[in-house]
Amino acid sequence: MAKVIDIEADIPLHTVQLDALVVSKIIKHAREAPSTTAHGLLLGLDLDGTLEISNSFPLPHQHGDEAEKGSKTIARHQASMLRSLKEVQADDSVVGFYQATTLGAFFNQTLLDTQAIHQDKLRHGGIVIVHDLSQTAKGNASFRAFRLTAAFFDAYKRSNFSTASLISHRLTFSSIFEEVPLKIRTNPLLSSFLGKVAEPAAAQSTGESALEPTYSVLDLGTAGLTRNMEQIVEAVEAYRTEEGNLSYLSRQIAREKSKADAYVAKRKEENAVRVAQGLAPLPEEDVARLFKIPAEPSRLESLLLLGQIDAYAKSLEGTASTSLLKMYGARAGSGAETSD
Amino acid sequence: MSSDDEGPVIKPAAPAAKPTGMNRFLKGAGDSSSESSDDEEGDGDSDDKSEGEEESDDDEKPGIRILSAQEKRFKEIEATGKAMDNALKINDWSTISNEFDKLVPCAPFYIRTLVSLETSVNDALSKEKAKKKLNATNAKALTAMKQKIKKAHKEHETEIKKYQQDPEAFERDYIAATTRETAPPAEKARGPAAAAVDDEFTTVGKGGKAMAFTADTILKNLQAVQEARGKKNTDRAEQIRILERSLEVSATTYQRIRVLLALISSRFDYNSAVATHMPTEVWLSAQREVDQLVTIVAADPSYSVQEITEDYDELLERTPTKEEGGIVRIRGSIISFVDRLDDEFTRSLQNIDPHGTEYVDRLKDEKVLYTTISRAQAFYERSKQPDPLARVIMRRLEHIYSKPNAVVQALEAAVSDSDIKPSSTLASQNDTTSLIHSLCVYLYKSGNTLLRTRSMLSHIFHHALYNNYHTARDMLLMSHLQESIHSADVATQILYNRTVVQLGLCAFRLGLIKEAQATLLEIFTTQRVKELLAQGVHQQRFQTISPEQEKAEKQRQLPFHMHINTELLEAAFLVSSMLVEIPLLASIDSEEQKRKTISKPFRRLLDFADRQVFTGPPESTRDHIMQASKALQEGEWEKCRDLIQSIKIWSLMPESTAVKDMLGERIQEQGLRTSCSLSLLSRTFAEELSASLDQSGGVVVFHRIDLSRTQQLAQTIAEKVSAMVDQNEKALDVKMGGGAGWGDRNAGEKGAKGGEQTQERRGTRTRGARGGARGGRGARFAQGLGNQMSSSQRQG
Repeated sequence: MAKVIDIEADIPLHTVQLDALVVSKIIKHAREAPSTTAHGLLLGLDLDGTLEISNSFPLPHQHGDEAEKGSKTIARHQASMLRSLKEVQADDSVVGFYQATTLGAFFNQTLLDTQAIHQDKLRHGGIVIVHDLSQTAKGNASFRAFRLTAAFFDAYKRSNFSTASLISHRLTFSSIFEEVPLKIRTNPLLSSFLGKVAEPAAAQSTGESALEPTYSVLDLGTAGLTRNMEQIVEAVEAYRTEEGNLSYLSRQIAREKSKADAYVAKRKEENAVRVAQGLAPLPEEDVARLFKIPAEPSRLESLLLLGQIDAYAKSLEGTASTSLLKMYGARAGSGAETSD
Repeated sequence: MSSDDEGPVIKPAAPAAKPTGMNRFLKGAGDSSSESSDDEEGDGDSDDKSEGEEESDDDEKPGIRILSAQEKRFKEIEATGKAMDNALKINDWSTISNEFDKLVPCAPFYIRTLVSLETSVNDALSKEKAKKKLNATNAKALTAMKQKIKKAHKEHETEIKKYQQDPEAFERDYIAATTRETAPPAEKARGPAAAAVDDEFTTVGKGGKAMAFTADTILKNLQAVQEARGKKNTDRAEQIRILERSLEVSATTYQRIRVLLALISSRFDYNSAVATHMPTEVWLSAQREVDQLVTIVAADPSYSVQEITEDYDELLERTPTKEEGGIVRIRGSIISFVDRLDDEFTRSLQNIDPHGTEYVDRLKDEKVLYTTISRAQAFYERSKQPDPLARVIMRRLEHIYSKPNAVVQALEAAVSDSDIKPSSTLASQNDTTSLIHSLCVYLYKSGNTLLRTRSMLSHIFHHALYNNYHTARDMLLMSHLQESIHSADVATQILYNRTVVQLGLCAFRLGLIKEAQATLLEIFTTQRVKELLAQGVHQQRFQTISPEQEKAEKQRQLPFHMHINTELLEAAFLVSSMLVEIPLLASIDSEEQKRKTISKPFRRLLDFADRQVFTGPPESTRDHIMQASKALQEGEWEKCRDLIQSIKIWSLMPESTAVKDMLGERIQEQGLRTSCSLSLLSRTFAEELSASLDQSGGVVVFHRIDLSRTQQLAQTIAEKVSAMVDQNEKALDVKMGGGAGWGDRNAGEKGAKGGEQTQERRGTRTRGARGGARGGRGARFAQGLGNQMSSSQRQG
């Protein structure tokens, strides 16, 4: 079976193989979770460049106000979970995590942080599977596998997201992550189960099963549209605020810098005069000490926001284009009817 | 001040000019004495403790040498020497130190004592090291003595050497020299002598008081006065008196000029640090003297007063015939006198209560001041000194740019009466505008950027004052000052603010309500109108300002007669805001639109007035305007008009009736707009309607679009995204060289061009967006759909 025994993790990953068990578990978790940010750990093994994810378990939802306590509970939960899995001889090697999201906007700080930790610790750097709830609700289960690009990871490690660093790392929001091809493997047991699930639905009625594909094609999908647009407005607004902050900071920096420069120039002039008069020049004082030039602001936040906006816009584009098409189709159909 | 610079220059010049017949020693002695006195002055500045003694020394030194009663002096010196000898015997070093201080350097006896003391001090020191039996005060005095001797030794090194070589010859030389050459130092000493307190000096003092005020001694007196200038004990009034009398007797033009230069400087000095401004009488005499000076210099082209001249002997009489090129150049600066006169005038106006008669009286002096400035201008025009000429023209411009025609005419009348006239006067230029134009054009051509900026602003201000709104606005826009004004000095910024405000008022007077509102908005949003116009100090609520800052701020304040009435300004701003805002308010139909305000200050006031439970009859200007706004909102334009027209402050505006009529018309117009859309229609229909008046077609057009949530959101997104693009463009502008000097012309032009381009781009975009908002988008969609449909039909 195993062609190469890859101890040192030399063979780079080129695909991610998601077990259907994991797919169903993630969908279940994401649908049932109280918030839209369901997340959990992925377990599995890599084999000859393919990361086979064979199991997963959800992590408890984290409340904002008890973050510290929450993280402890999560750690405990994770440890006990892994131990239990080991006891029953199941897979217990963590290879990444999954994250449920809506409308494709998965860019956020916590995701980055977690993945960065994983990339540092895990074999092959780990993988994040992003599951889009809103797409799933429409009938297309969406799973995408990502990991951080080397350039971003480098910048992240230095925690330097100044403009210069962004330029030198050639970073934009689209180059934060690199996508890894993903395929889903369904074992016979599961396919039989699915077949069983689908059967009575077809017999009973049309609209009840989420997997019923018959009429969903006629749905314009406007339900999520409002939400999507609101999200865009929010993101744009947040981006503007962030941009405002940035420009404020950069103005401040420019002001301080010019102050410092003026001081240095003045000191130089003074010294020139003093030298001309035959006096000893005044010492060049430490300008950095006198003028606190604020550090250049991190652009990460705006980068992420831009990524979010992009994702929202793309998903909007997707829905809008399909619904437009459907509308045209409907109009064409009705027009044909009337003309008949 | 130029005469300040003169002081040190004169001193070294004087000994150099001494007759060369002097023997070598005396030359050295003269030098060393002046050096030592210089040194001591320097010391005195640094440590005040020792000053008392040393200063009296300072006066004494030259004083002693000039006396004919040399014998007496020598005796005294010898007595001191004896006392020192005695003290030496009993090792009383403090006495020695005291006595030594009394000694006068340069006398041969002094040298002799110095040499002998040096040896005994060294002895004592070596002894003391061995025994350490001296008490504390004595030991201290000994070390002090050592230092003193060291210093004295250094100062008189040459003499000591000479003395050591041949004591006899040294003494002889000295006596011979002093008897021959007492005269020149004598005059030098008169100045300080006049102020001296010591008994020794009464004799000399008498000599000073008895200063012969004849033409011959004038230059000497002058020098004495100049040397005393700035010294601690100098009686300034006395000096002025001396100079005045000198002026009376001065015979030649040269002397007159010299005395006048000194006299004017002393007049400006007269003002102590305590008083806030020069007393009016002193100012007036200074002004008269500057006038006189200008007259003299202007009348006789063979004399010239310049800031930079070659060195010349202060004590010699000079005539044009003797000088190179036939022109006597005298060090001095008329422009700085004029500047100072003007500044003092402003300062006095700042400090006089503007509501009293004193202020008005003082203000009358502006006429003479203006004449003086014009005369100075004429002088500089004739002597062709471009630099001071530009300055003096700026001064002149500053006096007339903000004044209405009648006042300028009055000022100019005085100028045309005077015998010396500048090239451009009201009479020659026909009207004020062309006078100011000619003055400004000169300044534009001059190289000084500051003057150019200021004259430009004054010019704009003047145009605005004379209701040439479009000229003024175009000039302001073309000057590109708004980009660089932030880096200008405070005074220029104030002038800029004044100009902008005046421009706004001008637009208001002409009925250009929107322009007026837009122009005045910026300054009113800051809520620091008074401070920005330098018409009052802003109350600092959160921070306290240091006394220096407060002083500087006070100095910046404009004198009352130059103020732009802020209440009038506010009335103009609020009324124009009302006329712009109320129709807008009426057309609002959603919360989001409501947030878009044109004039925040007005909206705030209106909200405040709305919250008021009870509104009494209007009292203040604001009350009037708020009630008028409400009336306008309710469609009662007549009530609104009456309220606005009953505001009393309009009487301060020139052509107030015309302005009132204009306002009435505007209110009627806006009232129609407001009432059309609101009161009439909302009564007819139950809910608010958005409607607008199509003036060209003469019909009322109703718009009613029910937006779904999605559509609303789409609009919001469009807005937000366009704002985001704007922001990005701005950021790009900053990155691409907003920082690069706006000041210089090329960059400014380039920047402006870039700005226009972005403006254009923005313009097209906003137009597009607006079109979309109006439903154009829907139409386009429909059209597209139609096309598609037809094609699909064809396919079908």
